[in-house]
Order: sequence, then structure tokens, then C-alpha cells
Amino acid sequence: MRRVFYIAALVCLLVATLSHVTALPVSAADGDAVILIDGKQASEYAEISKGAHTVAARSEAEIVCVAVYENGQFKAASFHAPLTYDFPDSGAEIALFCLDSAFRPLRDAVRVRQGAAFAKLVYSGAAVCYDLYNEDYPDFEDYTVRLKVVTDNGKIADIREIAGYRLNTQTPTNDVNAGLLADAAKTIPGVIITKQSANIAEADAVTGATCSSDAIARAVADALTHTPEPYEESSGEASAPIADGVYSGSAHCLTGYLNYMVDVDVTVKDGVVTEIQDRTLKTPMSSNDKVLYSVAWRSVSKGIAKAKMKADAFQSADGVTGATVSTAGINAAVRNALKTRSAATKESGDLYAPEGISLYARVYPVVAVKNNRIANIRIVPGKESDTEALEAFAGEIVASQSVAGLTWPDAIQDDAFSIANLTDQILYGKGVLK
Amino acid sequence: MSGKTITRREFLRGGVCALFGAAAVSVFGKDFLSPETARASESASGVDTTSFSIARDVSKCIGCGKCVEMCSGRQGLDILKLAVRDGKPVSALKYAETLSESACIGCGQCARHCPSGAITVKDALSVVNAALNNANYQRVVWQFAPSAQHIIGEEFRVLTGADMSKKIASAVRKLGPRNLAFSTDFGADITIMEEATEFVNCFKRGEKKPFMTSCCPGWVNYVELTAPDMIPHLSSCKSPMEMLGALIKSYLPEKTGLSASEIFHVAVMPCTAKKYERAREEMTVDGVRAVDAVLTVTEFKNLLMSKGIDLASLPDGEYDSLFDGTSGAGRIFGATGGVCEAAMRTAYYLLTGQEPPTIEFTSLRGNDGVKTAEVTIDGETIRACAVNGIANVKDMIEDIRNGTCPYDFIEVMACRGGCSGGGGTPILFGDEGVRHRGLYQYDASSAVKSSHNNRTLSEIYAEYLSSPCSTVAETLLHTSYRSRKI
Ligand code: SF4
Ligand code: SF4
Repeated sequence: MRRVFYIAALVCLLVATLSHVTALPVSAADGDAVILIDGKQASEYAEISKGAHTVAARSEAEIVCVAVYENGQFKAASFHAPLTYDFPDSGAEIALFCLDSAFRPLRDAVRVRQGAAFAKLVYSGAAVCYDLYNEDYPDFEDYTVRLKVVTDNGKIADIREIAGYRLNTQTPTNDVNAGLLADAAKTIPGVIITKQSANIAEADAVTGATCSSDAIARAVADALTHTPEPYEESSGEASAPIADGVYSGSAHCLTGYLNYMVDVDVTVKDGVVTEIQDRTLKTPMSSNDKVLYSVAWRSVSKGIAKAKMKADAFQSADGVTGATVSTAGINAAVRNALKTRSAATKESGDLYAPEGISLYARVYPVVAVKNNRIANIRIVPGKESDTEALEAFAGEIVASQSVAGLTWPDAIQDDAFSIANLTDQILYGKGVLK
Repeated sequence: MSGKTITRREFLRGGVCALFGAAAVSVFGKDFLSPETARASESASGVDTTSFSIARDVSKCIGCGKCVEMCSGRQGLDILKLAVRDGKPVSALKYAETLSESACIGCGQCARHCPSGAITVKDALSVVNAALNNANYQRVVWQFAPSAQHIIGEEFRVLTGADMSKKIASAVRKLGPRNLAFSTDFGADITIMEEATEFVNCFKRGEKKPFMTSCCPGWVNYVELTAPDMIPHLSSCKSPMEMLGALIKSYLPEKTGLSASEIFHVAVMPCTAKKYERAREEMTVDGVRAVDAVLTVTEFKNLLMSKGIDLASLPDGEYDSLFDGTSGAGRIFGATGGVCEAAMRTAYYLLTGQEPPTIEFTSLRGNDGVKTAEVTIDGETIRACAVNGIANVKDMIEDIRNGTCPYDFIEVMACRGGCSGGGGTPILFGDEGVRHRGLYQYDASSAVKSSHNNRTLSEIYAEYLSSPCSTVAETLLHTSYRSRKI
């Protein structure tokens, strides 16, 4: 199979509905989500590269889905349901159904693009080095190269943890192979990072280690087709076994069109993840966030139940088409729970948030109300907000149980005003703020 | 202002427009993608400026469907739909080629929620700026709607609902010495005097049952375009904006020795339908337009920003004195149920000569679709009702047609929350009640709570208008309606 590498600029996927109308539009935009295959628009994608195409399908439940792509660019997908349709649960199915059937050729591109929501991502990949006739190295045996690719805002930033294993095992390969791989690993990652492509030229390969050089390149290409994970400085560090219990963790999903927090409670028994409880959907979310999150949640939760994942080596389910950010968010939340091992927190009350606001991916509050008092305000930060300062500011609101008489600190005045004014707007109608 | 002249919302709008080049839509029903749908969309291309309130430029549409959700969802109207053109979803008119040929009531909710600028409010800023620079105008007179005074703060980092009237008065001073500022509260007080008198007369004679308010131009448009059989029920009163406008072009010139044409009159409203109302044939005084321009709250904010005026940091000022006495009743016009409540306060007084035992009709407050109150006078009961949002009026109209409507007085406001949720205001997250709060607080703290106790107004009646529904008042302050059924 040819190596496929995607260079992304921007994809927007937007589902915008108001709660009282059961229409569910999803879309992706903008002009520049072009797929590059080995640097060019590949001929096998010709059918999507020219002209505009619309795919429409109708499900049993009379839900119509329409998807549009044009000149190789993902334009829009939309879903239309009878007015009586009950969202968002069904919305999840529809989104999956439509995107899957209409955008199969494009979904990997979209997935990688969406993964860029987390500024730094880690992709894991593998490739096998087959070299049957190497006379210089009679001891040579085929081996698997595994590595990790770190991307920063869609660019390959680092290739690390390059290691060789005996075919299909976790056992390190023999010393000869390890030596060859080490030779190749000295220069090949640099070449790939410079070219920003895993398609290395023959001349780039390290003399005497061409197979290993090639395997590194193929492993990088392979990695980039998988669902990434958020980058963590300490990844790979050994840790003590995880005791039985329920742990909670969260992660922030933020792109141009999504902005919400994933919250999960993870149950560990005998070192195995037995259950993941979702608390995210209990928080008010905009409908687009909710649909994409539900799609991801369904798939991930099913996978978990089957897989009996080891708690200390939690492996995420693969990305869910059209909901990769959300999938990555769930995985990140689970890993955070297992890493910090903080005891599960019980729901602190009724949660309120400004629904619909995440369309703008800006800072907003999620307010927990208990006994008609503000128990807590969690800041869901935007792209450039100063979370610490905003948390301190939110603390003032909680302490005074009021938004009146506050001043907006200079450095964060717009965000602080948003937090206060939105808290006021969403709580006044509930009778919590007067 | 040091570089803070762009608000968060403006920033977002710009950002969002840049971000979403294409998006998708909501077409309801099974005829999606039918040839019929496609044909209709064909004719919907190009820029449509035929409405007084909003403009559509379909080429900018990203097909997100917000407009359809507002028009058919929240407003329960049937003007917009999503069609497919060039394989892309776009906003289109459902039954007409242009807005002027549609039954669009000009409420502006579609424009308020459109993220791409494909549907926008018709901007009057250029007209106002020209007037500000035109030396032929001896006076530029401003009036500010009750709700506008409580909403504009949101654009200047002031919490939703705060009363900004004192700051607004100073801001108008900053626009130059020729500028005068008044509050539409005063117009609302006149409206109540006229409307309550008209209602009491009808009530006694058993006419016009149910009697329906006419201060919301979105609602008046709905009647004329969709339900003209309701015209006989409509109060003949002009809206507060037009009533005050009529005085600004008649009483004010008389007092100042200017001619009406030397006065340019701007109304700052939460409303886009007002842009149509001001252009209606009847809305003139001796051939001179009563209101020369209507700015939405958002446009007024833009004007202040363009002039570097930071509303929140201005010192407090006072409105000008000619129409300065106002009442709490006039202020609560900005909330759904407010007109009804203000009218009941005065109707009670007109019928009994006494103030009502409780001045606050709390059952008319809040954001429910239909709210009611009963006022009993000598064993006779007035059944009053406030319809909140045009979507809730259909059932009411059916009841009236079937003769099963129990109410004597019905207030209708086309936007949810009343003027506080108007198409010319910033998007609100949550209940419009947060904006009502400020209006009711103002009412609670004002010394004069009823329109008939507005001293300045009584003086103007004595001096100029003689009495509510007198011949002078009829000419200046009342109007008529005609069917424009589509
Ligand atoms: S202005 Fe109001 S009635 Fe007209 S199209 Fe927009 S939402 Fe519909
Ligand atoms: S006109 Fe505006 S709100 Fe309506 S679909 Fe187009 S972009 Fe969305």
C-alpha cells in the first residue's frame, strides 16, 4: 500500500443546533483541507479530487444525510431528521452512519487534522524490516521496528523511542539488528523531520542499514495513520501497579469548533480496567459537542468492555470517524485518571453551562449548584486564556455567591467579564443568582 | 479606549466568519433534495435588500441552519428553509423570491444568530453619521428604548441588565452640543395613557374583544401579512417610539422654535422590525417623518466604538428635560408582560379613580409562553394576558376565531422575552429574565410607578394634547392597519 501522508491546515467540523429543533447539521470546512499523498494529490483519489460530489442516504428512521466534498476538499455533511426525532443519542448514530458511508476516503485526513486539537500529539507506529539476502549480516533476522512520532500543530516534531523487537513480540531483537537500527536512527529521523514526509529517497538511507532506514520511514508513515494521543512529558516512565478502586480524570477537548471537558470515572480491578463511567454528558454541552462526543463514547465504551485493558498499559480504542478529537479526549481522560489516581469525585450538584457557546471555542464557566448555592465554577478555557487567573477570579464568585461588585482584573478582563456575565445569564433564570 | 475598541463578540464574529467556510444545514421533512427544493433555491441567489429590517447575501451563507432554526423553531414562522445549491446547503426563502414578497415580519432573529454575515441587520449608521455631520440639522434627537438602556452595557463589560441610562445620556452629550437624549419610557407612558383609555372605552362598550396591543411592529406585521382578520382587534395606538417621535416632530419644534425638518430623530431600539415601522406611510407628522433612523443596540454600540466612547467609563448624566419625567410602568415595556402590566395599572385607575391594591402584577412576569392576570373591579373581571413570542400567538388566534378566547386584553410581543430578546440585541445565553431583572428593579425603585402619575406627561396633555384619545391625540398618536396578506 502506498504511504499516505496528510498535511493539514484547517478543518472545521461544526454541528450547530438549538435544542428545540431537531435538525442536526455537521460540517467541515474550509478551503484548505487538501489531501496530499506523497506530496501530490494522488491519482487514486481522483474521483474525489475533481468537481463537487454529494452523497445522500436515507436511514430506516427517515433520517436523511447529505455529505458534500469538492475538489478533494471536505465541504459539509448534514443530517436531517423528522421533527419528532430524539437527539442527541440518535444523532450519534446518524453522524457515524453518514460520515462513514460518505467520507470513507477522506476520514483519515479529517481524523489526523482533528487530532491536531491537542497541540502536541504522540503517534505510535510499527513496520517490519524484511531482509532475506543480506550477505554481510548472516545473523540477520526479520524484526519489527516500533517508534513514536511527536507532532506539534500538525508538523512532525520528533521521532523517538525507536526500538526493534522480534517479529510480533515484545522481546527486543538481537544485538545486530539493534545496532543497525541504532545506526539508521541517527540520521533518518532528522531527514523525515526536515522533509516533513515519511517518503525518504533511496539516497537518504544509511549505507549498510537500508532496510532499517526504510523500516523507520514506514513505521513513521504507519504511526501517522493511527489515532494520536496527547503528548505527555513523562510518557514511558514505569509506575507502581494500580490498586483496585475508582479513579477520576478529565481532559480538555479544544479545536476551532469544539470546546468542552471530558470527565470519566475509571474502575480498576486486579490491574484491569473493568468499567469507565462517563460524566461528560451530564454537563450541559452544545449540541455539536454532544453529538461528536456521543459517537466517540459509544465506540470507546464498547471497546473497553470487550478488551479488558491492563490498567498500567491502557491502550485507546482507535479513532472514531468524525469524532477523533473526542475519542482522543476520552483516552486522555482515562489515562489522566490512571496516572493521577485521584479518587473518584461524586457529582457536586447540578451543572449549568451556556449551551451553544462552544461554537466559538471561547472561555466559559461550568457551574455546579448545590442547595441553591454555587458550589464550584470550573473554567473551560479558550485557546489563549490564563486559566490560573480565571480560576482565582471564579473563586471570588464562589466565595461571594454573587457576580455583582466584581472588577475584571486587567490582564484577563474580557475573559473574566465573560465568566461573570455568563454565570449570571445561566444562573439567573434558575433562581440561584438574584 | 487604548486598543480595546473591539468587543469579544465582534472578535468572535470575525473569527467565526473566517473559520467556517462551509457548514451544513437543517432541512426539515422528506422533500429534502427533491427537484422542487433545488429549483426554489436557484431563484434565491444574489443579494436581497428588499426588506427594511434585514438583508440577505446568500453567497456568504455557510449553510449552518441557524436562521431556519430561529425562524421556524423559536419564532414558529415559515419564511426560511435550507435548500441545496451546487451540492451545498444554503439558506433560502421558502415561498417567495424576495423578502418583501414573503411573510417575513422583520423580527431579525435570523440575522441575530447568523454567524457568517449572510443575513444581517440593515445598517443605518451611515445615515446617522451623515446627520451628525450635517449642519442643517439644528438638533439631533435621540430616544432610547427601555430594554436598550439595560442591554447596551453587555457590550462594555457591564453585567447584563444593568441600567445604563445615565451613561447613555452622557454619551449623547459627547456626540456634540446639538444632540438631545430622551428615554422611550416617556413614549411608553403616552402609549399607556392612550391604550388604556382606548381599552377601557372598548371594554365598557364590549367592543374589540379581545383588545390587542400594537406596540410590537413584528406582531403588527404578522397581523397584516398573515392574520389580517385580527386587525379589528388591534389597538389603534402607535408604538411608544412613534408616539414620542410624533411629539419630537410637533411639540418639540413648537417649544424650541425650530421647524420639524431641522430636527433629525434617531431611535435606538432592541428591534429590527422598528426599521420597517418607521418607514410606514402613516408614521409622519405633517408630511415629516417622525423617526428618521432606527439603530439597533448593536449598531449604537458600533457608533460609540467608532467614536472611541467607552460607555462604561463615562460619568453619569441626565436625559434632557422636555420629556424627562418617566415612570416604572414605561420602563417595564422592555419585558414580555410589561405592557400588559403597565396598562392594567392605569386601566384600574381609569375605571375606579383609585390606584390598584397591588401595583405589581407578578403573574404577568417571567418567560412563559402565555401569562395571565385578572383584575376585578366591582364584581367585573378584566382578563389580561401576555403572549411571549410570536410562536405562541397562533393558538391564541385560533381561539379568537373560534370564539373561545377568554381574554379581554392581550399583549403580544414577537420576540421571546419581549424587547429584551429582540433581533437587534446581542445573543443571550440563558433566560431573557436576566435582562428583565434590571427593568423590574428600576420599576421597584422608581418613585412614579404608573403612567397616569407621570407629571411631565400630564402637563403636556393639559397644554398640548388635551386628553387621551382626543382629536389632537388621535391625529398624532393613533394609526391604522391594512391587510398585506401574502
Ligand atoms: S426576520 Fe424574523 S420572520 Fe423574517 S426571516 Fe428572519 S426570523 Fe424569519
Ligand atoms: S444565512 Fe447565516 S444562519 Fe442561515 S444558514 Fe446561512 S450562514 Fe447559517
